[in-house]
Formats: sequence, C-alpha cells, structure tokens
Amino acid sequence: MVKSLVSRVWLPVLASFTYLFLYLPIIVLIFLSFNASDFPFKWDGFTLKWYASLLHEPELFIALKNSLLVALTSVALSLVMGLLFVYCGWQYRLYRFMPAFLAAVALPEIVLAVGLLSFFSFFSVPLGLTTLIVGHTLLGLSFVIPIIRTQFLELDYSLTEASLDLGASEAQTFFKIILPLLSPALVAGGLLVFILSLDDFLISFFCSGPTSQTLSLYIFGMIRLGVSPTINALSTMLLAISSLLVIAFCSLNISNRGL
Amino acid sequence: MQLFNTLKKQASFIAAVPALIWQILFLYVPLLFLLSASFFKRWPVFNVYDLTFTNIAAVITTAHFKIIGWSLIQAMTIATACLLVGYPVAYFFAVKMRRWKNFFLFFLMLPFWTNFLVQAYAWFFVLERNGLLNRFLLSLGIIREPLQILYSPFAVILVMFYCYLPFMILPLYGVLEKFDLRLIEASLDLGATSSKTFFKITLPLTMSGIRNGFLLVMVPAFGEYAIPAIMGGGRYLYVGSLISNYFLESRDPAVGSSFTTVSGCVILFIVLIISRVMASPKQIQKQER
Amino acid sequence: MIRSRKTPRTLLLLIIIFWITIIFGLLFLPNPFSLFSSQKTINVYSWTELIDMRKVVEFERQTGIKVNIGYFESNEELYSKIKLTRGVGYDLIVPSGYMAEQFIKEKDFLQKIDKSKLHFWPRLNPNLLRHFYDPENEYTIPYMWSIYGIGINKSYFSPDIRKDWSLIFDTTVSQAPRVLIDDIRELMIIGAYYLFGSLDKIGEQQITEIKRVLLEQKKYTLVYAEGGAPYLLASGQAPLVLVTSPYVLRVVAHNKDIDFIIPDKENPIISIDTLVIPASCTKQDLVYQFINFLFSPEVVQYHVDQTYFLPAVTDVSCKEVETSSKNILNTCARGITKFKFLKNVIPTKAINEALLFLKS
Repeated sequence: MVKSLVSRVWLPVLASFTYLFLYLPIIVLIFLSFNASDFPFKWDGFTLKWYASLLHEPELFIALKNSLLVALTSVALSLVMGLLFVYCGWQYRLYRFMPAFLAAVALPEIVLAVGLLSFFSFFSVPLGLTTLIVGHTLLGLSFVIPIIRTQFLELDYSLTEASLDLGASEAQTFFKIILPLLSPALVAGGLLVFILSLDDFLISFFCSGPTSQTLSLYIFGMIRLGVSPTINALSTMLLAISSLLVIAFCSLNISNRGL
Repeated sequence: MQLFNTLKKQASFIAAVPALIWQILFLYVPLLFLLSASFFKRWPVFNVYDLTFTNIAAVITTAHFKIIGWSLIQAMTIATACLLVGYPVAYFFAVKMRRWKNFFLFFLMLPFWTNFLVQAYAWFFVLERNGLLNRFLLSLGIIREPLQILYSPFAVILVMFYCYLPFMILPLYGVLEKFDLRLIEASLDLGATSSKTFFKITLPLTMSGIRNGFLLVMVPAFGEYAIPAIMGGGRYLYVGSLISNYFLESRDPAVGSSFTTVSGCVILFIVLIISRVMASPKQIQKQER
Repeated sequence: MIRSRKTPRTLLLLIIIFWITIIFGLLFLPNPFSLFSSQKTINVYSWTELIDMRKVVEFERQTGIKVNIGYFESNEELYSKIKLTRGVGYDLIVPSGYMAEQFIKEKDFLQKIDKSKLHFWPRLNPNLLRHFYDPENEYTIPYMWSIYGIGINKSYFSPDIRKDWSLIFDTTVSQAPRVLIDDIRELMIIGAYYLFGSLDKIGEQQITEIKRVLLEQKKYTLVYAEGGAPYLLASGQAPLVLVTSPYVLRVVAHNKDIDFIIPDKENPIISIDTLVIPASCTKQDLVYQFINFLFSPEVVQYHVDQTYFLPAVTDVSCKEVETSSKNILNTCARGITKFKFLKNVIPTKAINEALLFLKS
C-alpha cells in the first residue's frame, strides 16, 4: 500500500478528532452529573444526590416501562410479520412489493407521524400504547424486511431439499433449518428496531395519549423545563445501560462466531 | 372440511400478507388522508367536505417556501458535512486498520446507542456562554468575549451533524469493508496515481454506500423537529417545527396537511434526483442498455 | 416446495379483508394490560408541573384509584389532542383561562360540576371566581394561577428603569438579550395590552402594529421558551425575560440579583389554570375524590412550595421571596380584585400569518 502523507498523517488525525468530537459532550455530561452545585459551572463537590433523586421519580419508571413495552412488542411484531413475509411470500412473488416498504425511509418521519395522527383522528382511534406500537412496527418493517431478505437470498436451497428428502415435515424444516440460518438477520433486525423504538420521538410526540408517556417524551419534557442536573444523571445512567447492553450483545456475538 | 383444506393450501399467503397490509393500512392510507385533507376545506373529523384549493394556495407562499428551502439547504449541508468527515473515517477503519476495525467501530458507534435527545442535550454544556467551547477559546485568547453559539442555526446544524454522523458512517463502512482492495493494488500497479485510483476506482464502486448514507442523513434532517426545538431557540421555523405547529398549536390541520404534502413532495423529488446523480456503476450500466 | 399459483382470486381477497379487519380491530382494543388490573382508573391531562407525580402516587396508595396522567406543553397542544378524540378517554383536564372558554363554547363538551361534592369550595379565593369565561363557575374550578410579568437580572440594569411592559416591548428602552414565551398567541395578546391597553378593538391595523413590535424584538430575543428562562436569567445570558411568575420566583429564592416586576400591579395580566370534566366522563365519583385530594391544604402547599404557582384557595401560604412585587406575591396575591385575561380575540389565520412573518 502506498504510504502517502494522506494515509500516514491526515487520516489518523481526522479519525482521532472524530473520536474526540463524538465523546466530548458526553464526557462533559458525565462529569457534571456528579456536580453538587445547581449550576453547571461552579464545581461544588462530588455527589450522587442527583442519581438518588431519580429513584424517587415515579414518572421516570412509568415512562421507562411504557417505552420497553412498546419496543418489545414492536420488535416481536416486526420480526414475525417480516419473516413470514419474506419466507412465505416468495411463492406468491410478494417480493415484488418490496419497494413498497421503502416509503417509510424515503419520507421524513414527521410526515409519517402526522399521517398516522390524521388517520387515527379520522377513525376516532383512542391514542395510547397501541397506536405507538402500530407506528413503531411500521418503521420496523421497513428495516427488518430488507435485512431478512438479503440473508434469505443467501440461503442454500440444497439444505432445505436435503431436509425434506430425509423426511422432515415442512414445519420441522422451517424451525430447525431455516430459522437458525436466518438468525443473524433476525437478531440484527430485532436490535435495530428495538433501538429505533426506544429512541423514537416524533411518532410518540404526535400519537401519544395520557396513558402512553414514553422515555423520549419524558426526557424532552425535562429538557424543555430547562437545564437541570437531574437530566445529567439520567443521561449518564442511560448511557451506561445502553453501553452495557451493546457490550453484552457484542460479546455474545463474538463467542457465537467462535463456535 | 373442504374449506379447511383450501385454507391450508393458502396458509403461506395467509401468513405472508399481514406485513403488506400493515404497510398499506398505516402508511399509504394515512398518506392518502394527508393528500386529500390538503384539498378539503375543513378537517374531516367535523364531517364537512368542501373541495377547495384554498389550503394548497395558503401554502404556496414565499414564507412557506423560504422555510422549505432553508430546511432543505440545512439538510444537504449536514449530509455533505457528514460525507466529508464520514468517508475518510470509514475508509480509515475499513481499509487501513483491518485488524482492529471492529473494535474501533464499536467505540465509534457507542454514543449512537443512546437516546439522541440525550446526545443533543449534552451539547448544552459545550456550546453555551459559560460552556466548554467558549472557555477554551477565551483561554487561548482567540476571542475576547464569549460567543453566543447556543440557540442559533449554527448550533442546530452542529448538533444535527453530531447526531447523524453514525448514520453516514455505518453504510459507508459496510460498503468499504466489502471492497476488493486488489482493485486498488492493480490500478496502482498499472501506473495510476493514488488520487486517480481513488476517484476512478474506489469512489464509483462505493457509490451505493455514499448514496444510502447521504439519503439516510438528508431525509430525516429535513423533517427534524426535536433538535431545532431544543437548540434553535424558536427563533426560526423549520419544516418540522412548522408542521408540528400546524397540527398541535394552530387550529388549522387542513393547511398543515397541505404543507406536509408539499414538503413531502419536495423531499421525494430531491431524493429521486440524488438517486439518479449518485447511481452506482451497475445501475448506470443497466440504464444504458 | 413450489406451489401452484392458480389460487382463486376471491379467496385471496377474502384473506386480505380478514387481515384488514383484524389489524384494524386491534386498534380499538382497550389496553390489554389494563384489563388485568381491575382497578378503578381515571385519566388526567394536565400541564407539566401542576400535578406532581409524587402526590399522585400518594393518592393512589390512599384510595386504590389508579391515575394515569399525561402532560402537555401548550394549551394548543391540549386543544388539538382533545379535539381529535372529542374528550373521550379523559376524565379530568387542566386548561388555562382562555382554553377553558373555548371548551365551554363547544356544545356538550364539558359536564357541569356538582359543587356539593367539592368540600373545598368555601376556601376558594372569591376573586378568582365568576369570570367572563364561566360566570357561574358551572364548568370550571380554579386550581392554580400565575401572573405575567418581567423577570430581570438587576445587575444588568440601573435601579431606576421603567417597571412596565415597555421594558420588553420598546427596544429604545432596553436592548438587553431576552427570553420571550413560546406561544405566539399569548405574545400577541400581551403585546396588544401593551400597545392598546385593552382587547376591545383588535382589527387588521392593530394586528400589523403588534407584528411590527414583535419583529423589532426579535433581534434581541435569545430564545422563545419558558423553560429555559430561569437558568438563562440567573446566568446572565438573558437578563430580561417575559414569563409567568412561577418561573422567575423559583430562581429568586437562590439568587439575590433576580427580580420579578409586575406591570400594572392593580390590574395585572393573569392566567388561571382550571379543572374541567369532559362530558364523556362516567367516573365522577373517582374524579371528585381526586379533585378533593388535590385541594387538600397539604397537597396545595406542596405544589405551591415546589413550583411557586399561586394557589386558588385562601388558606395556603406563599413563600416569602424578596422581589419588588413582594407585597403582592408574598401574600399569594389575595388582595387583587381586577385582572386582565388573555382572550381569544385574534383569529387563527392572523396568528398563523404572524408566526410565519416573525419566524421565517
């Protein structure tokens, strides 16, 4: 490889700056969450009191519970419907309709959210967790189906043939052969939809009702009320939790591949 | 019994079709609603239907187009910036650091796994008057008085750039990882300079990743609501803020629907143009046949 | 595994219709998780801060009634969301003044209040009752209220500045960076009060005048938001804010430099947050229990101490805060009898135009 100035100096420099850029605000945030003072720029001493106050926020736990519920249901629905669409649909050439799933990504999410709102209001559908699940599954399908299909196309048909020849029923073939082979796509898609749903703000903002306060809405509400150290503590905790989840997931992945 | 048998035969269809139904019911029908609401005088909930063009007319004004225009320019700026920074970074990790690439990529993506509102909020402490950036610049003597960065369009663009960068890096990394490095070797062996190699070989072959990343950043950035709301200070309206305003604050969802329809058409049009401009060589070949 | 594709079209169509009905029907299914808890529940929709979750949890523990609270950020958001469902699904709503008027005007939207069930009625401040939007208080119960005024950081101003609305609206008086409230409707009405003194004759000309004043302001406006005001005020980034009293008072307690000015002290502009019950509510018993709980002295005192809103009942005390309007605020403004309200006198179209004019 030609070791020009670019690849020797500039690329690593740029990469390092990018890292710095990405982590800077987060480090500041974590730092300030331990600050005892109300105002960020007077360091008053190390404290955990903001974390403690979080434990006494019933609203936070309700929002968290709702977000998790919606996320898990959306993941389940997207994966099941998506898988069945790809797997069972190829006989009916339903994959011709795959471009139909692109619209959810080709249009800004706010258009989808507002459209759903109009739709729900026209039919007087009560706004709540169900409507949120509907919206998130909608987004989820657009991501899950292309992922599963790519993996599906790479499946070796001879494996299925062999299984059927050896006497397994179709259902058995599906569960014991096809499903495990598709599992990387399912896991990747599931994780993506999970994060998408937890992170989602616009659909929750437009389509939520009194019983469906989600984490994003809760954080947004708190930020609107102004800068506060409690948000710093909450943010740090969320950071820690998601990092741990991703690390756990990746290490599982690595150990799986090793097998 | 016969009915059961017939149904059993169609079991696959029964299983496969819900996804499509879901998509049509909850995406295309609502879009149709938006489209038709643009042409009706009153919100359908009130059961007053009066075909009219006043809603569309109300939206075809300079003010509205200024807002759409600014949001579009902003979205494209952010996408371009992400591309200019994201491509070299992705290239560096995918091509230059083959052994540690997963490790570095993981840490690059880590901030991405948190709620984007938290990411945006974190910038408060860097950008505000007493914040890190100002203190740093003051201490270096580059400026004499703290700059007002927060609550300005610049802050909005910066924070959106920060939040959307991973969306650009991921597709680019995916494409670059699968890139056959022997092509570069071959090109260099045949006497081309590295820059010529880059522009004639690497770039066109990774075009699909560039296009996907660009669109993945530009489209959501166009309709973004939360970040301008937190960082922008409410002084300027963007497409996202205005749509939200029409539906949740003013009592005029019909005009809101027309504005959404118009904005949606504009962005779709731009997406089509960009898909054409950034077509990968295979697609160009297909078209030429 | 390849099947014949010669399937009757009608069967496929029937399957499609079957799924459409199922999926659609799922939308209307009541929340399955709530079916498992056969508790009594009520749904409340309120401003953030007015009803604290901690007190709600207390109520739930005391009575066993589950309260689902949703919060909204602006009156208009409340209106739009409620309009969409015609109030169905909500048992108690907390709009402020002019929004209550809007709800009352809609036929059969709210139900009349049974005052015999409300034990606290005699404790209410009579000055807050019998206003234009509900002369007999048949539909609304005043809960908390606040006064519109100007928060300043005294260290940035000389002590003899004019203490009225011109401090904000007249750029020749002050060019300090400022924070204004988010709601364009409210801004315009307050501007109207400043320019014309009353809301009696607001026509095209007056609206243009208001828009001009607001546009001039914009150069010096840092943010349009209420939430950020306390911090920006205290840190000096925006030494001038137009906001309701609670947001400034909570900073005054920690910071001697902050002051809250009430222009026109004998006839201030106020906003009353009221409780209303939609007509579709059938759980009146539960709702009245909750309302009585909210008005119990201990709960009102808690909210007042936490948020610095002014209570509608007379037997709760307000914290002593050192401001130039302390005579009024430290006594929970009980002595004021004349008020100016924000009324809906500017048509929506004009407001939208003003919004685009100001912010595009």
